[in-house]
Order: sequence, then structure tokens, then C-alpha cells
Amino acid sequence: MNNIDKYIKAAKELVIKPEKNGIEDKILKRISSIREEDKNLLDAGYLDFLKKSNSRLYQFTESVLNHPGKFAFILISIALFAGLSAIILKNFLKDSNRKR
Amino acid sequence: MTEEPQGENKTGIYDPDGLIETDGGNILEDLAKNDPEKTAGTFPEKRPVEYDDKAIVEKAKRGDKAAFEQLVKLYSKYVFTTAFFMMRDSHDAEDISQEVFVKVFLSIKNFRGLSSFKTWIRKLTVNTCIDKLRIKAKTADKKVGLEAFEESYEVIFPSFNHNLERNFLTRETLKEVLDIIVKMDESYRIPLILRDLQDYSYREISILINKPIGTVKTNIHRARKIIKDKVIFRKEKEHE
Repeated sequence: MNNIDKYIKAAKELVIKPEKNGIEDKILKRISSIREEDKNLLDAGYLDFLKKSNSRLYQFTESVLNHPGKFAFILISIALFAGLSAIILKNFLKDSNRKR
Repeated sequence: MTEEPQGENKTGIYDPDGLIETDGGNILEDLAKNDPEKTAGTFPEKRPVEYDDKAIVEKAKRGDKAAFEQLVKLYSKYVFTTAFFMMRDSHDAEDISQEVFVKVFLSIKNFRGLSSFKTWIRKLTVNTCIDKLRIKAKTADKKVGLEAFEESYEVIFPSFNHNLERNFLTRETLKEVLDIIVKMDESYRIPLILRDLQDYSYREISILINKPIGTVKTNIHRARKIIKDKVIFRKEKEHE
């Protein structure tokens, strides 16, 4: 029954058909009749969400906090690459000095 | 729940009119073809959906109503489905869908596009649902809500149909799993949906539902176990 996990994952691809199948029309109708009061929907919570979704720093911090393993892997990879490059460069400089 | 063969597409968006096709052109490409900016030869013949999505969003940001209508057509079912799974009520899901698009309409100019539009609208939908659930939890009788839930709904199977059979997954079991999820207690259902259906991290879920990460992980584990147990029980019963 390990397949159950696959079923759960597969469920995210599904969509529900609205009862009367007129969700688009209802949304469009609602949008065409927007009033001044509707601006109240853009409350402090929403404005905070908007501010965060428009902030590169916030997005970066979130991605690091949500995937610490990935971030650690990238950092270690960069450190290894830098270390390896430094060793190669050092050896290269040594060789060129010897040749002189 | 009944099977619905029509409306299959790669975007995972229900499309009863067949506007979005699985292969080749789609409604987005048709839009692009009619766009003078793109007929100047700078647009490649086949573009990924994300690219076209961005073009429509940019137009909508400039106040193009037709472009906004396209966004509604593309994402209304997606928003509705997300809201339906979380709220378990089609009327609530409709209200939330409308509210989400009103918010998007009023603030799309301020959307910088650091994430994809789909991610943005998904997070907005989830946040709106969580807010509504908090209000409901304060006002409604939970037991009455659960007993009253006998909603019938139709599930649309999008593009992964073929993969389903290839992976030995059956539609019936998938529907059953979905049914178990929808009927699950809120404390298990919401974290499971956010984790497995919406790809949120444990940390994000913990912040959203205001529960410790440990509780979130435990509830998700238990929710998965409930599904497994119920499906296994049903299968064993069938074999008897």
C-alpha cells in the first residue's frame, strides 16, 4: 500500500468541477460590479502578504528557512568549489614560479 | 463523484470547452498570435505556458480587462478546487474564489512577479481559506458542520491519466483517497492538504495554522495513516 502516497501526490493534479459550472461567470460578474467597499478586502493581512510576496529578501529568507538542507548543500558545494579552485590556482602558480 | 474525460490539459486546469490542449497550441498561444507585439517575429513558435502566463499577467497589470478575463478562465477552477478541499463546501469555495479574484483585480498592479502568478494566487487562496476557517471555528458548531457534510462533487482527471495507468494507480482508488481526505477532521485535513496538495513546508504550515511543527508533522503522519488504513480495510473487505 505504499502506493497510497502516490495517490495523495496525484490528487493535487485533480480539479473539482463546480456544481453549476459557472464559477468563471460569477467571478467576472463580481469583478464588473466592484464597489468602493470592496477595497476593504485589501486589509492589513492582505497588504502584508502583498508586501512579503514583493520582497526579494523575504522570498530568499523564506526559501532558505523552508529548505535548510538545500541551502546547506549549496553552501558546502560553493565552499568545496572555492577550496578546490584555490588549490589548483596555488599549484599552478607554484609550477609557473618553478619554470621561471 | 463521476469521471469526466473532457477538460484534460497539461496545465492541470479544468477546461470543459477544450480551449487548453494537451499538445501543440493552446489558448495562450492563440492569444499570442493575435498580439501585434508578438507577431513582430520576436516570439518563438512554441512557448512554455509560464511565459505566456507572464504576458497575460503583464497585460492585466496594465489594465487590460480581456487579459484579466483570461486569467479568470485559466485559474478560476484551480482556485475553486483549492478552496473546496479546504472548506469542504462549494458555496464557501465559490465565495472565496470571488473574493480572491477581487483582491487580485484590485492589486494586480502591485504584483512584481517574483514568484509565478499561479504560486501567488495559490498562496492568496490558502491564506483566505485559513482566515475563513478561523472565523468559522469561532462561530460554527464543528460537529454540526461535519455531520452536515454530504457534498457531492465531480472530479476532473487532467493530463496525468496515462501516467496513472502506467504507475498502476486507479481512478477509483484515487477518488476514494480524495473522499477520505475531504471527510477528514480539520486538524488532519488542512495540514495534509497544505503539505501534499499545495507543497507547503512544515514550517510554513506551522505558521499558517498556528501550531508547533511537531504537531503538524504528527497530524500529517496520522492523516496519511488514516487514508492507508481505510483503503487497505476496503480492499481486504473486497477480497473476502
